[in-house]
Amino acid sequence: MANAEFVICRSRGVRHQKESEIDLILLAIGVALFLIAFALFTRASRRGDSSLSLPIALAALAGLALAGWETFRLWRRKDDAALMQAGTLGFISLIGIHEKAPKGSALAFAAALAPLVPAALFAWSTVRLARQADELQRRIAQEALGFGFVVALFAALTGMALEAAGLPRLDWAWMAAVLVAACGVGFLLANRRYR
Amino acid sequence: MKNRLRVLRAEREWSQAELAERLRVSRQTINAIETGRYDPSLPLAFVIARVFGKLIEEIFEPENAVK
Repeated sequence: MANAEFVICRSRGVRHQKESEIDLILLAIGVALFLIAFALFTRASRRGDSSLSLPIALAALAGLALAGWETFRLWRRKDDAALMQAGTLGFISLIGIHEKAPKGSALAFAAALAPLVPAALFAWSTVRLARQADELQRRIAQEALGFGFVVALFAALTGMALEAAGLPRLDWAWMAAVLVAACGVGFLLANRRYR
Repeated sequence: MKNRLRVLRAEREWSQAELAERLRVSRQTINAIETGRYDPSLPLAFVIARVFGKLIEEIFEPENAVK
């Protein structure tokens, strides 16, 4: 039985299980609720409106709890592909929330560190997926990462050269997006090659 | 490298998915080996040979093999 599950998991690749779809939707709703409540909470705090702070903070906690519960359900189902997607969603959603909190406050620091939680989830599920992958899938991942690394490297060098040539200073946060996009393109190309 | 995987599989009337399950790899891997786009590692080649009850050289053959 364990073997059968193992094989099914392997043949599935990085696609999540069908049963996980509803959990991913609920997780997204939880994250959205948290983001909206967090924005309202910081706005209410700035205006000194303490009467709304408690219900909004409770709503934010409810959103977090929903997202956490759905993540736990995915973890219990051992759906690593869905956990990877959950980690990506969480990271992208949380990466900018520190800007809403007052600069230098404890809330801003906590918000700046918050994306590390979904990032750790992403890393953990990626390692588990890589361990389950067969040799061809590992080669595809290797080629994709190699392609992504080279493209990101040349993009960075080109950006530096353009800056030196007089282009306005670039925001280097886009480098992460270039790396992810290039890895994605590399994955599609490698997958196509071995299809 | 040329191989007789497709022929051997057809003889046993196995689908690619069935063979993938026996070898514990993805169906994509079976397809890539059959179409010659991917050469399996030596451990996987041994497993393939064992599943078909043959020697590795009875299944795989280098493109420019000296006879």
